[in-house]
Amino acid sequence: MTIRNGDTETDEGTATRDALDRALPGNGLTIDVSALTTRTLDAGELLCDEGDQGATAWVIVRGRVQAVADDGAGGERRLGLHGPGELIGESALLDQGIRRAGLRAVRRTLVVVLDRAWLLDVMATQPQAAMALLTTILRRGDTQPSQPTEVIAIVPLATTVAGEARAVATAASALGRHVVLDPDQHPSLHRAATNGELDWLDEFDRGGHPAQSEPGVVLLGHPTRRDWNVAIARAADRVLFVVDSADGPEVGTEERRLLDSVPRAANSVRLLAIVHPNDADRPRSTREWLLRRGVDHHLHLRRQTPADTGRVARHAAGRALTLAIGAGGVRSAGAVGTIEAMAERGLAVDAVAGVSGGSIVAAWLAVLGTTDGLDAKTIWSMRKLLDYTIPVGAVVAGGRAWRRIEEACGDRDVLDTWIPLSVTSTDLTAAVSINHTAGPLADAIYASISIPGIFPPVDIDGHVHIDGAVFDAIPVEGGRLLGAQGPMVVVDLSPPSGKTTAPLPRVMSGQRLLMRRLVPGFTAERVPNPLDTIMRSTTVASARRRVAALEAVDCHVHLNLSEFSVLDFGKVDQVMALGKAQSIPIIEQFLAGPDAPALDPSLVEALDTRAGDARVRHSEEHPSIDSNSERAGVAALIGSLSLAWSDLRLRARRFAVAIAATSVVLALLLLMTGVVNQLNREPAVAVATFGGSQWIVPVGADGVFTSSATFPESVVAGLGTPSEPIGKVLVARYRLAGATEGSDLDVILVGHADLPNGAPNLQAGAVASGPGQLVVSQDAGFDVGDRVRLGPVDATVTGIVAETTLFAGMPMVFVPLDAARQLVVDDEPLLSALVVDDVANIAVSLQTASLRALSAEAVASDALGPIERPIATMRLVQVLLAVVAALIIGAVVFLATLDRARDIAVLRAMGVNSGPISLGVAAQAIVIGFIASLIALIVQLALAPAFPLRVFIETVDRVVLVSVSMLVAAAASYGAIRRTLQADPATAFCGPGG
Amino acid sequence: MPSVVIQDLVVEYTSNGYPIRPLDGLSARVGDGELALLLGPSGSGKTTLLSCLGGILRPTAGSITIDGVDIAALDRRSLLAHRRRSVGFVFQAFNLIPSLSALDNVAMPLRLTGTSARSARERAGHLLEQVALADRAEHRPGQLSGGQQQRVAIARGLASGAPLLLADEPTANLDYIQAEEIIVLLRGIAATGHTVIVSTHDERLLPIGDSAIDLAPVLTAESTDEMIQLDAGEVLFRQGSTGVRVYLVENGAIDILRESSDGSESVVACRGAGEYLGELGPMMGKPRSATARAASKSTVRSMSVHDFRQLDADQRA
Repeated sequence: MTIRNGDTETDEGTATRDALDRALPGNGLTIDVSALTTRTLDAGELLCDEGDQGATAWVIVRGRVQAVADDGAGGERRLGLHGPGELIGESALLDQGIRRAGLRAVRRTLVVVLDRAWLLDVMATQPQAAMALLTTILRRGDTQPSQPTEVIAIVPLATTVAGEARAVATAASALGRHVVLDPDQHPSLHRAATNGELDWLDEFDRGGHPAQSEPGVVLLGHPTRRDWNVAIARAADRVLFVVDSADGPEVGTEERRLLDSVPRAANSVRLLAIVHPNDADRPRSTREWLLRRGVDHHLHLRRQTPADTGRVARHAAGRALTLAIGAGGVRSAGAVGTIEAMAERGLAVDAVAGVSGGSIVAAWLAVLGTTDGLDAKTIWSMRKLLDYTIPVGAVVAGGRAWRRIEEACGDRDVLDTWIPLSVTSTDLTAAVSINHTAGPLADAIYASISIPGIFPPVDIDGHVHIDGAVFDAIPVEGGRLLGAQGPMVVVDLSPPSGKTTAPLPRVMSGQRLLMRRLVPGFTAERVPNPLDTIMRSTTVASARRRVAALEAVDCHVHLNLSEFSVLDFGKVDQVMALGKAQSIPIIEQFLAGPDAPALDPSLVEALDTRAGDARVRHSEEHPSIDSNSERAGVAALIGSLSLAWSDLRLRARRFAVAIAATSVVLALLLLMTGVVNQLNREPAVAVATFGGSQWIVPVGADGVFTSSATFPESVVAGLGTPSEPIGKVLVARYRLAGATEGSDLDVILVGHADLPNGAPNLQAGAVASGPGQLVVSQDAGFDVGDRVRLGPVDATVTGIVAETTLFAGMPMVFVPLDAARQLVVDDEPLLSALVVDDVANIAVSLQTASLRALSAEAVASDALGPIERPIATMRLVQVLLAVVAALIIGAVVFLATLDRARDIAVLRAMGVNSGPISLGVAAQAIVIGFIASLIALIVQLALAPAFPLRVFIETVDRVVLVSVSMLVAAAASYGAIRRTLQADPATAFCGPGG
Repeated sequence: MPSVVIQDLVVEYTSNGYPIRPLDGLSARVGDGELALLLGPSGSGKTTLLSCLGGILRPTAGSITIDGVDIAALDRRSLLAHRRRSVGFVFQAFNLIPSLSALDNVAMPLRLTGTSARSARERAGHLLEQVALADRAEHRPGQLSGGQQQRVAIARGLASGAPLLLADEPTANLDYIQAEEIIVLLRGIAATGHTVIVSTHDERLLPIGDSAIDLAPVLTAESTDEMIQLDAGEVLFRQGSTGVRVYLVENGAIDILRESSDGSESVVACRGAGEYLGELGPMMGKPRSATARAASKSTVRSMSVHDFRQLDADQRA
């Protein structure tokens, strides 16, 4: 191209010529520069607006032009940024059509106008060259726009942060392609800039500077030189304001003046870096800072912290790395491995986005600001996350998860993290994916992990949020929002394509599957668990978006962790290890690739140190701690039992005393049981002696033995003819005295005739057949032939019946009915009751005779009435005895634990979990309870005969005693176990006896 | 690079309402395979430091990096794992479990952390051989001498295969002969590549350490020795006061007096030229137990405990 211009060669002319030369290269075109018009734009001024009708193109001579388009939401989307020597708006030159983008000067800019008249003129005069020009223009659409030299300003807004700003600028220069300028070292530049000269940056734009091949220049501001700051801030494509957190979020006067002098449109990106003390635990109130300033993104840095300085520098230089961690439940923890693999190769994460399980890792990385401790924190967060509940709202109550998250996040805002963070959830109310880059962190994470149906959904500002993975399984979009303009690395946990499962049975019977799993000898069938199935279904929708999202990423770390169930949070550490192993080759390939990311100097330094630290570990073999955790658990269990057993043996004497005491108490407990049993069965046994299943008594009497109601014998005749004989009974309390003085006892005198079984069940002797003869229950202690006094009458014991007592051992005395009448009713023909087997055919006549029938059971239970309270009392004593047994066992086990405090502390110091130790303590108690209960069974046999009341013990009572003792003993060990859990390992260090 | 790096370690707790800082800004390093001695009088924080190293006590501030891991930043669960895998302990009071045989004492911590009984006992047997106690494997601690118990304890400390062994006053309860066995044993363990950190105020251990961490209270005016002129009757220091200086009598004589509670004084000793006085209090971090008063016009050299030790060592050499 030949460019003709007027006779006078001016700076302006030269610049224009250069620009045209670069914009329209090699066309053989001759351009008359003097015939072209130029236009100067102020920062923020529009060259054309989107949707305008246009017919001109422009070539930028100086300055910077931003192409913008409406983003459909009232804001604007920034397209390309164009600098000197670029042709812009060229398509309108050909078709005079609608502008597809607006063009706006982002700083003072000079353009040459190429209008349609000029084009027509060229076509007429230089058709050959014009053709080539058109070709150039048409091809422009296919090629990438040239990257203009990027101008970055770093402006400290307080003297206290000047050092940090300089450190950031230096770090940015170390990224290899930027030049740091200090106004003091470049007085001419300083003068030109502050004088408002349009061309002061030309040397960079035109490539006249040594930094010619570099795509960027870093300009460092000065806290007290406002004119310089204004100049560089206006000129910068990206400006980083550095503020001091100690100054508070209010905009200072100097800062306000500066901001007022630089139009918002002047910069394509504005960043705010907040400087914190180097021992700050966390950033705070970032929201307040952002509300008062129009900035695109914020960054936090601690003083004298190279990792932070490096991160801010990479953000400023547009080389910050974003990590997007995908959804995958526990598999997301694989990203921890990826992050470690990156860190070990000098690659730091400068912005991080996460979704679902990935949000936990992302949040920890952002909060910690470093890889150190990330694994431990992630394990802590993920282990035991699930607390299953009745599935009304969700399968998992969420209490644990929420407590963990709340404990970790507190009132922290997403903005208040060292590394910029985005957490993705799905807004179910609006059916959109939401990337939380601000707002309460705990809410965002909890929402992000709430897998539909498994975790409860979360409300945020009245909208229901669920797991972000429903829409976005990999949060690339969230990552982009953080504004880091460098590489995007994605950790993708979606299962590999292709068949992932063996053929599944069509019918999955839960019992059958469980049995196959639990019973040894069966091989468990691999079927997906229902939670996995729900989880997987929820992410189906995101699968399509995943493909689109992956298109624009620079490094796709696709981890295959499908061997771990998504919700198997117990295996976090294994997931991390495998994730790391799989990440390493991918990260190394990424580092070796053409667009290698910027390394972090502080990490690289750490690498060097570690390499120098390579040393040979002593090669002593380590004991095999079983990798199979179940087998390890069993081994620990057996170990703890063996420890408990040897301790029992050591303290055998003390435990023996405890066992002896406990066994006596348990024997008493068993005897009580026997007595209560006896009292409960006594009436039934006594009533059964009479034979017959029905007792006929006067209406109004509830029973026979507790009532004194009688009726005349004459009514019996009116009852019709029963099928069997009607037994007649007269009952009264009476006194019986033996031969010796003072042997009086209360008895129940029973006169009887015609009993269904003829007579009471005799054990010995014969039925009393006349006055002066009686039959008595064995419990009264008489023998056949004994002379006794029955009230006023002398009598002889003619027979003994087995076990016939009432009211806790009051014996019955059987005499003929007539004899009884003589003694108690003056020979009146009265009866207390009739005993029959069947009342069916006399039922009607009973009513007319004012009688009613009671079953034998009813009579027996009525006889129990008077002793119900004593029975209840004995039951209470039983409970108290059990408590005493528990106290004895509890005390002795507790004392043993006190004695063993040092042993326990030592074991705790050596890293033994409290679980096995506590279990051993409980086992000791249970063994004591067991042995004591066995001894109690024998002691009871020895004690029973001494009891005045019969003791009735069945096998089931013995079994119950043994099991109750063991249960009580286990409960009794609670105190000792608590003590064990509180054992302070530090006490192991105390001197002897201490 | 050392395998144990301690930086700016601070431990603080409250005792009867008074804040106590057994460790205040301690920094130290112990190299891989070294036998390091923690020196200092009682109460100087030796045990506290060992507890921190062992992951039993969490320091108030500072960091402890063992094999590249800052254990001060670990959570409870990771600390437990650290104790299990990375450190072994040997205690002053041996702390063997009385109910278990020597073999089981070594094996039990392994078993309780999930090693099968057979392999734990196998390893325990092997370790007891190393400490020359294979023939006493089935004896209970009560049937072993103190030295033997401590050897069992060392075997137990090594059982987990941890690279770091922490021993707290391992020879304090032992007589000379038994202590020597233990010292030789610890030296041998360090030689096999373990890092061994031994807290002690046992002078006998000094020569075998590769390095020493001195926890003696930091004394002011550490470096400068100065001459003090005293007239007859002038008091150098009073009973019950605390001081950090040791005094060497250059010329003259100093009476050492003990004051009784009834106010009377009695001269317990007199130090002449070339003799030193007031060394016990500063070295043990305790108040002066007597008053020192010039018996005649005297000159004394006031020096720090460190210099005094130096001087003492030089004289002995």
